[in-house]
Amino acid sequence: MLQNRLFLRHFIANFATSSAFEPREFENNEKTAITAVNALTNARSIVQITSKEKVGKRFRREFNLPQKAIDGLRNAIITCERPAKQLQNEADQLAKKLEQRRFPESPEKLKKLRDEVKRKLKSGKKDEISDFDKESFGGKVQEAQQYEIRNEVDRIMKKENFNWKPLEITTKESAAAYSLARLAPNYAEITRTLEEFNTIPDFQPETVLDFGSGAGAGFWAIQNKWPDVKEITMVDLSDAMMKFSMDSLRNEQSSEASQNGRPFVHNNVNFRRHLIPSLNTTYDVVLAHRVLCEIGSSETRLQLIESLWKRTNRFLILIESSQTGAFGGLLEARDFLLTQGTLVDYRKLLKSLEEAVMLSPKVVRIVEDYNLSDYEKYALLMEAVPPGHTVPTMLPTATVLAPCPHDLGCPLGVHSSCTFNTRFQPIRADGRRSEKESDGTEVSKFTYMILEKSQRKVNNEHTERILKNRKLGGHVTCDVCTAFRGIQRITLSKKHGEMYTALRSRRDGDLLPINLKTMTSSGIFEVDN
Amino acid sequence: MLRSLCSIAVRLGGARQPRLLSSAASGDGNDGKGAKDAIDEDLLNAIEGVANNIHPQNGSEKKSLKNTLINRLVANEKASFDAAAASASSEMLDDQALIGLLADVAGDAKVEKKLPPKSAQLRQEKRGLVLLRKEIFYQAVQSGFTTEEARVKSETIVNEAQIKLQEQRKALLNDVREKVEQEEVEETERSEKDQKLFTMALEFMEKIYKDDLISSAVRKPVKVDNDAIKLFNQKPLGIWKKGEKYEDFSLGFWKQWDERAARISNGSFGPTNSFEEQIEWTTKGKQWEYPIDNEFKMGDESNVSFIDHVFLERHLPSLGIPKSGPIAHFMHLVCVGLSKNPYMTAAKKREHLKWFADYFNTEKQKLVHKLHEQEQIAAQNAL
Repeated sequence: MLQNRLFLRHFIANFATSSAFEPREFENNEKTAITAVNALTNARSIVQITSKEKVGKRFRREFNLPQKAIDGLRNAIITCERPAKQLQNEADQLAKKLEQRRFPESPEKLKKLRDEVKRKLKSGKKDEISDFDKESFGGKVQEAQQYEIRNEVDRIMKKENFNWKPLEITTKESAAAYSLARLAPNYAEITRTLEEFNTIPDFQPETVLDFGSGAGAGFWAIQNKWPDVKEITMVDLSDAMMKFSMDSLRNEQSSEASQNGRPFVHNNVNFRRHLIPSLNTTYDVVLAHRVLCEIGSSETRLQLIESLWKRTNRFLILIESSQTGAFGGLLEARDFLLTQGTLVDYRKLLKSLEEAVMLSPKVVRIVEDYNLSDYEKYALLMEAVPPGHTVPTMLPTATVLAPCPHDLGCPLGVHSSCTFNTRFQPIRADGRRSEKESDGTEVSKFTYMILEKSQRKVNNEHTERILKNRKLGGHVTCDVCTAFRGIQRITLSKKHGEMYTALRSRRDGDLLPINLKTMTSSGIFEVDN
Repeated sequence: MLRSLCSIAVRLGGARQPRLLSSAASGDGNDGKGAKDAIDEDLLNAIEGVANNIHPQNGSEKKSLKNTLINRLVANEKASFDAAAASASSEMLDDQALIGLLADVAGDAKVEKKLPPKSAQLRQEKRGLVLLRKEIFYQAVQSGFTTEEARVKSETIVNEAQIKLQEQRKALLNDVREKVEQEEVEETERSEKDQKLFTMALEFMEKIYKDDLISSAVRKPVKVDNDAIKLFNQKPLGIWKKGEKYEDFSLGFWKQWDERAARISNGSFGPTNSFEEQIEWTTKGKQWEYPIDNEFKMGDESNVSFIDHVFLERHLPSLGIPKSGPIAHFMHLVCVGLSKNPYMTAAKKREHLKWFADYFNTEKQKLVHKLHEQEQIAAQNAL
């Protein structure tokens, strides 16, 4: 898929840059036209900019843990055997390790690498036991040699950062260390992601699933965003981690709720180690925070994404670190859901229409046309199928709510990622300041994807997103991810008035506060013409 | 080529160097006696005069002064020769045109751009077109067009893209073809430069070896003038205008006389050497034909095999000769004698055998048999 996207972008760039275009710039009282340049292909276009009528608030800069969470964590740490300072030291080491953690490579690639390393080792060594001498040596000597080669290969692979392992937490103290290291940044990341739901004012989920809940940061984030959630289910494979999060979420002993037989801070919170096998139990919001990096195989990751998607009523939230490997895994999941959501189950469709005696030649022609893409067939079949019947797809249809303004391939290249920042106040058990702390806060980088189980609305106001906002003297240069034209670079200056003021106040990752309407373009593939 | 020419020049320079050095060394060793070969006699006399004028009384100082002057003159001679040799060897290196030619010849060939295989390119283009169609369809639907309009729009744009791709491929092919032609032109120019370089090198070589070449006077080839007048192809001058009217008046006798005289004078008066004489004898049958052939003029006998001449016993049973007894013995002797005769034909030999068979008819056989028995009895009685 990445190769197809790259090829297509290069393909369009070939034609887009073939014709030269002289930009013109003029100014009206209400509308202004500026020049926009595609950041990747250097195609130029004239864009008309207008102010948006309802501009949402910009996202908050800092997300701090609520006091209840801090109190719960402190109470849980007190019950550990070892002192808090020791646990904080372990937490610092774990935080450093998690920061440099890499996304797992596929097993096929790892095996190929191991074979290459082994071949290079064998070519370098000259005291190899030849086939003639193998019979004279016993089995133990051969085993020892094989063991030595394997150790050498492992050492080289480890040195080259190919030593991914799942994160395992088996004791209470290690769970405490993980909570100290990751509770605050995880909460900040999830809360920043949930800010995207500001554009849907009337959304109020009733049931929430936090898959891979860990220290319980998702719980606090959801409590903060939607205080009236009826049920929260937390799933984690680690038994020690689950128990520690239960301890963190306990009420204080002196409170009234504890005496009434409700020990947790929420009335209806479930703790599980596995997903419920039945598909009848669905959740309005499914949250998977830093889960994909714990699964080593691409097929297994997609299986997990599929099972989570089938248990989702409306929204699926995926959050990962900002590394390119993690971003690639996230894109893989996104593309999987988008393509499977528009891939029609043709056999099932034809069978159901035949049973209802409603099969028309138009439908058959659409199904058998191999020139059409899956999305095209899906859109045509949605119109051709008679009312009362639905078009069956491999998976329920998906669309991206945030951060992408479109459902097509990502215009970013293979070696870059769409990164978002968030700030938080770190919590420490030893009372000292963190080494990465600046003005009392730390920065956490992540990338996320929110998928909605519906079709994208046509003629909607597209939410272009600012990738990079360069605030220079008297003017602002923005890289904006647009719906149809990839990543556009626009420049506003002070003469643009309130649009300049509105754009200057935005940060990286915010929504663009102005409307972009393309008037003319140097590209040859324009739908508006 | 430049390197070999420079080495030749250096070798020419080196050939004369040892002589001067050896003379200088011998000059130092022999107190100036060896140096006299390199310096002129008049110069030596001048040195003697100067030494005598400066030191007329002291002999040792006069001798040392003379040696110093001779050594200095020898060194000056060596320096002059070195300068000349260096200028000769550096002449080629300073030739800027030659260096430019060498640089052009030694320039690296440009890396040729490779065309991808056509089937792979077409496959890639097809996939790209399908993806492009999907993107444009999606954009049209999301922009508010109906599905049918989106389909028409995407098909139109994909067709335009296909046409542009074909034009791009043709342009690439034309670029490659033009590049090939340009390379051919450059190859031709490079060969011309090589020829020019060779010519210059040859002239330089001739310049170096000009004094050593033998100026021999080679015989000049004579050119035949094809426009010269051919004497025997001329037309009659046309002086005698009435040549057809004249007749030949002569007696028949004198005509025959003249013809006979002409025949006698045109014919030869016998062979002029021994070979012609022997040829004439062989033609007339007076001499054997050479080389010798012992089957010369054998006639019909050349077709008869030697078996018919030699093995004659096989004819005896058919002639009625008895197989044993004194008659058989006699006939055996007859066959042996006839087979050794080289002067009789095979047919004649068979006639002889037939005659003997007729002679020994039935009556003669009985008589011979009886006489043979009587002879046998008489022989036994004699013992």
